[in-house]
Amino acid sequence: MNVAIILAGGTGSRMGVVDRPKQFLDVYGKPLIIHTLEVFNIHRNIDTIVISCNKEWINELNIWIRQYDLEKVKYIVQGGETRQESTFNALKSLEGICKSDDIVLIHDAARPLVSTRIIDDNLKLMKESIAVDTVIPATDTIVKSEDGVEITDIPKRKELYLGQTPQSFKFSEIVHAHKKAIEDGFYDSTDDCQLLLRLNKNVRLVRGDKMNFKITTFDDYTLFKAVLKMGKTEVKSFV
Amino acid sequence: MFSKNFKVVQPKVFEQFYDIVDKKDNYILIKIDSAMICKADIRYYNGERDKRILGMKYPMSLIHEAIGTIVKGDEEKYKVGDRVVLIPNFVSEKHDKNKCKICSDKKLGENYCEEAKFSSSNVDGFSREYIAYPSEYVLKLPQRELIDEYVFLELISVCVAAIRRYGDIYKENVAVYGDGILGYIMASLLTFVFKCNVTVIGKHKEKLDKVTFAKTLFYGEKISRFNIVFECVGGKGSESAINSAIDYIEVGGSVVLMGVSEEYISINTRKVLEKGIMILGSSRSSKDDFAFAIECLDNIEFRKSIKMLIIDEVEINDIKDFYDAFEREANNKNIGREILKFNF
Repeated sequence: MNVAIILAGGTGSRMGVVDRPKQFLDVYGKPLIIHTLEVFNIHRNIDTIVISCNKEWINELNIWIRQYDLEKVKYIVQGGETRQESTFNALKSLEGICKSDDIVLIHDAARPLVSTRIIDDNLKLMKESIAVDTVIPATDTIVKSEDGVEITDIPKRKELYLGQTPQSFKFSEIVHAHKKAIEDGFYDSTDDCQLLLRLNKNVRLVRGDKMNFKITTFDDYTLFKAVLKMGKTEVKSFV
Repeated sequence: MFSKNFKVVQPKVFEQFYDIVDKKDNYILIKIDSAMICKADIRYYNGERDKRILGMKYPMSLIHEAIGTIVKGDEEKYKVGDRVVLIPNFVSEKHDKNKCKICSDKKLGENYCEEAKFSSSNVDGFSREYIAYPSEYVLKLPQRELIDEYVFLELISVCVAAIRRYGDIYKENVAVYGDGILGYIMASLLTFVFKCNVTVIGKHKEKLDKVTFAKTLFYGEKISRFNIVFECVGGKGSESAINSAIDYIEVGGSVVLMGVSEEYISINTRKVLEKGIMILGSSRSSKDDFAFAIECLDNIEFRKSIKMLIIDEVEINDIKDFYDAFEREANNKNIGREILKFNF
């Protein structure tokens, strides 16, 4: 079984929108999260979807799930204080349902332009891996500064990638990694692959896509709307 | 939901777009799996049409030969996972086909209606991840493993339409002018499905050599008489091909024109009159032609000959792969085509 976990627990504090988190903003008549869910819902190799959702929005989300006929969404769990906790809550809901070899794909609700190709590539590589991360090569030079004042290091760009989602795991491996992190008092992971790396497990790379960007700031939102506006251009004549 | 889409925006330039694709009543959602580039697509890609017309068409998604999988069906006919072929020409549901003289004429059909739309010509084509398409204009494929030969259905249906419009052709003595892909498919269809005695007349030895199932002749060689000629040449070459057909056809014979020419051509009308030749034009096809084309692919020999046309299978992961595929097809001098596997 292949399960998609969609993380929608964020508050969208960096968006500057006061009444709703970014994943619930309206984009051409639909909440952003619905656009993301639709990609997974119609994917032929995704069997079940679990959403980890900001508590105040669970009722609203339940209504949308029915309204937009997202039949693969089986569980909505309450999100946590951190990303790590939100993911773990979703994983807990799958205990007793998933087998150890089942695959979970963890994806940010605020990345609506994830493509079928990226999901396919994740699933394909998972046939021979225990964990897979979606990345794109860094094109800008990455500068490290420990104090935000002076440069500490400029790592080699060709060794650097930017992490995206989905990140995919064997169910038993990611559950174990989360439990071990809690046991070790490690609570602030911003990325699930990090939890496996702590345990010296191998994580393989899948090519992402620049367009699979996360809508985090208002600038991202503006860019996203501009991308969609271009798509509305149609053939003008019947010549 | 969003669907990634490559559109040609000016000659030799594609851009990536995202469309919002939603299932409406009487529409189904389809993931495009495999497709093929046609010479008409190449003309738009290269900008080989009148500038004013191109200005009205760009930006436009190309490709009108494709098969896909239903990701959201309808309650009645189509379910998720069904493989289908998309029929590129259709009329809007607002147009009453039963009242329309052209649409309701079985010999002609909606393809000749002024209201007809043709994907990648006057509406966006299939170069995209997902498409919402009228359920009336798809046909279910046999539900065995996905077979690449089905991508050729549009071309096969065009040949089927031309034969249908001519009439009873079973076991006739037929010539096919043109050694390109259309001529090859027409000759194969006439040989294997309609059991005709077929001669293919062309100008390229390497292409004629591929036609192993019918007699072949070089253009200019002594040609025997035929009752029916299918002209599959098009372009500038169609003028000499049509005049040769007029020369060699039997009195009272028929010439079916199928090749597209952007320019006016001169033909020997005196001989047409003297011989009482019937000239008929046929290019595109209708849904019934697609249905018959699917049946034709059950003919093992015919399917084998279509399989010979597959040069390669190429995965299209991004816009760069898409460009490369168009460049290769633009320079393709072979008789076959690449099957593009959409994975973007």
